[in-house]
Amino acid sequence: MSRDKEFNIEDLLIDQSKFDFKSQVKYAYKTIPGLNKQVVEAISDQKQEPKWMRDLRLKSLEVFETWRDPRFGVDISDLDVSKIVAYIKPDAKKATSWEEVPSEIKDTFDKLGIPEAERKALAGVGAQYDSEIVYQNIKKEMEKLGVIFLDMESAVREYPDLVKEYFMKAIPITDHKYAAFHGAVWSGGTFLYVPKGVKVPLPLQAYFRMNNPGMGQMEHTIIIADEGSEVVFIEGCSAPFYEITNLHAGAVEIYVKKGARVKYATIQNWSKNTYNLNTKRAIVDEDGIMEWASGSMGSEKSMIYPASILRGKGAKTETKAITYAGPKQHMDTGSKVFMLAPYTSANVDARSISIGGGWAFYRGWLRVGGNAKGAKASVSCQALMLDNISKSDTIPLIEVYTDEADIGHEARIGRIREEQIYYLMSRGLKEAEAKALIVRGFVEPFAKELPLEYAIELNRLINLEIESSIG
Amino acid sequence: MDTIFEKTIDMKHNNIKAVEWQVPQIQAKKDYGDFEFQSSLEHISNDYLKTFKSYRFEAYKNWGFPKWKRTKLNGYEPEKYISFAPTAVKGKIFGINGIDEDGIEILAKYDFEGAHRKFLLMAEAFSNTGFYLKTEEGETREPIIINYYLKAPIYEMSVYNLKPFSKATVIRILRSNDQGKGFRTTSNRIIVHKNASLELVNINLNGNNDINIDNIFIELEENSKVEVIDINIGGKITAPHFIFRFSGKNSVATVNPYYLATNDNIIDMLYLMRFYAPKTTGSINGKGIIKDNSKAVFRGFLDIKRGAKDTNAAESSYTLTLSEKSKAEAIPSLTVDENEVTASHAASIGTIESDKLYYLMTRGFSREAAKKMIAYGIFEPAVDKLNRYGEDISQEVRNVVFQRI
Repeated sequence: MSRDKEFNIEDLLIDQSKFDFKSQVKYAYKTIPGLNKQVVEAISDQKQEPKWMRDLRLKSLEVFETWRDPRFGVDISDLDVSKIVAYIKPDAKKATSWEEVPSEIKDTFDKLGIPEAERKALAGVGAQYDSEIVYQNIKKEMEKLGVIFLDMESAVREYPDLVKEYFMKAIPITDHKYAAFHGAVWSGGTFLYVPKGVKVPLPLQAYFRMNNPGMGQMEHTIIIADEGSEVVFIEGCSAPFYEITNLHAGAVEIYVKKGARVKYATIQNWSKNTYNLNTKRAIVDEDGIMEWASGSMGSEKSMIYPASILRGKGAKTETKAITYAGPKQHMDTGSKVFMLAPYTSANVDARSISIGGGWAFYRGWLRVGGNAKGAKASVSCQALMLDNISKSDTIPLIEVYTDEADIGHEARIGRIREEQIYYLMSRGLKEAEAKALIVRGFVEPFAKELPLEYAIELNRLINLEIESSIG
Repeated sequence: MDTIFEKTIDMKHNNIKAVEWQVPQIQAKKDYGDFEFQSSLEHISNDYLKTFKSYRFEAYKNWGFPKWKRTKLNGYEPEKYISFAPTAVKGKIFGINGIDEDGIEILAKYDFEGAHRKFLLMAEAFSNTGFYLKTEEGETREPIIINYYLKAPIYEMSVYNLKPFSKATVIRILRSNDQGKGFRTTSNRIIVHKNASLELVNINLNGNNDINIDNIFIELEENSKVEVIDINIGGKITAPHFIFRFSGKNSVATVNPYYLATNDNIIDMLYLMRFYAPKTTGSINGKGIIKDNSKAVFRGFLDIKRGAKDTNAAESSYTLTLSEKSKAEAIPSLTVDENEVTASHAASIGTIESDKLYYLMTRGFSREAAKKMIAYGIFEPAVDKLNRYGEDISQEVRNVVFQRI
């Protein structure tokens, strides 16, 4: 093909340059690397926490110290927790207007387009820089409706009973080793409460930025959607590239009450020196709906399986996920659904792209309990391998413990076929454009779940505008 | 000689490793030792075979019995050893003692993990039965029927050596008297040389207290063809473990597993197809029924290695659940290192559609009879196929299925 030399597979790789900038920011406080009682107590002191939270941290530390590493997933034997700085407090007060945010930090978020997005399309924003939220704001109308949107530390102080009722209840500290780790050193994150019947018209967003080398970011997010309420929450994250390992071990706990609806959309774009060991879980009550839209693009190694526990009759969940595994990336991603009540339903559409030697691994777990009569679930996995040096794996586990359920799973892997390219080229596209168009089509169902700005950002992220890059 | 060891799960990619699940092991309080090993040599005069078995015995000592979560096996205490397991054979096949140098080379060259290494090594070190099938080049062998009786423990080590352009059909039927705790573990190495073809039919009619672990390794050379029907009925733990190794281009294999679990039966199946050569075709199509407190675990693994261009691989499973308490699990797995392939898998688990049931009930069938008829429909294609190996065999399977569902 004469146009062969015009196409360079590298052009399909994600362009990280937008996210790979380092900022000089002063720090108010920083723990020593590693994890021990002193570090945990120091974090608790810095945050002036109530005793119950301090106790929870110390209990978590105990669990962490005795727990084994996960016996599946990515190899984390290189991860040396003794070198990870668990807590870095930027020298900035929590602000509710961008003018109050120190200029170096504001610059960072400007470059990431956060303030602009807030003005245009969001009901509220929380921005975390290293270990602390530096900006949190919600539109006044939302506040009037009783929506609580706070950084987690403020929520612990201002709504102690509410936080205590939900904090690490969906994800107990004994869940796995890195849940315990998180429990011990969590910092930052968002607390969102949407009162009964309130439908938040625009999405709320949290953006997490890690700036320092060798640090761990462990934000904790709780969303409580009370009966009949509705909310869309978007999470974004990024970091500059360093030679040493960063760790992200966040936790997201979502409580979808009777008849409520929550959509949680993520675009994870950690730098390629990050281990992303994140835990996300939703507990869904009667007729509640939980939607996950999960894009895993960055990090060197990821283990992330957003989970929905459908415990109320008629509860529903829908997952749309896209995973991108580029050079040296090992992405072990997937979904978990536990159907524990009658007439629950679940729909999972997981897609992956592997390129440049990356390894995309889908791991799913669907359990239909004995009480889930009339449950319906369908799981679909699709993998697109863009070259012959990458790897795509799909291993779902399906457990059905009732006789009145209708459960299906299907998966296929594929490549871009020559006839597809030829067809598009016969319509006047260059080869690279044709490939880009096909990849865009593949990502489409996930992109549709995102607000327009983010869908555009996603397309840019996957560098689908390769037309321009090859001129 | 290059030796080939096929691990069941192979979790690495370039320089990236993944964490592999390590099955916990439990040492038996009273494991087999020298006495049992020496007894197992009683019927063996072939020196090569003796040497091979002694190597396997040494390896056996290093392992404990597995703790299997899904089958609730918590280690194992071997039954009293008996050095001879009765079988009845129709057709031309040697006992394993008749293995020639060619066959010994197969034993030495090909190795695999089996459902668990301990059980595989047990079958080889303490073999009390086994067969050596060797065809001549271009020969078409009359169908061979091997009848096994699960009265005493069975440790089988067999080798099938299908020479180029030959054809063979082997039907293995295991019957249990369902009196005691029957136990069988096997090790079967099957080499299908180029342009050869094999039809293999396994019929395992296990009793409710039996443990039956059937380890089968099949090597497919260029243009070879393999068709397997694997029927597993009953068993406290029934664990068929198949590896198809596609080493030659244009090789083709299909496996059609059928399973029926009732009472407290647990059937945990693994069918793995690993593709190394281009233009290979493999398919796994599992179908089964679970009833009462039983459980079926269906693992259908397709593993496509780099270089297996234009491979066509498909896997599907369907489990019909007839009782509230029965448990269906499916672990389809698709691992792919080569992008110029067509590969897919599908798993479904469901119940009898009510409109089908009502239709039959309007025709005068009782609810139970209608359910049975629909469920039996799953086994019908297998029973039909068995007809070609003898009506008595198909009738027997049909009766057992009808009795148990």
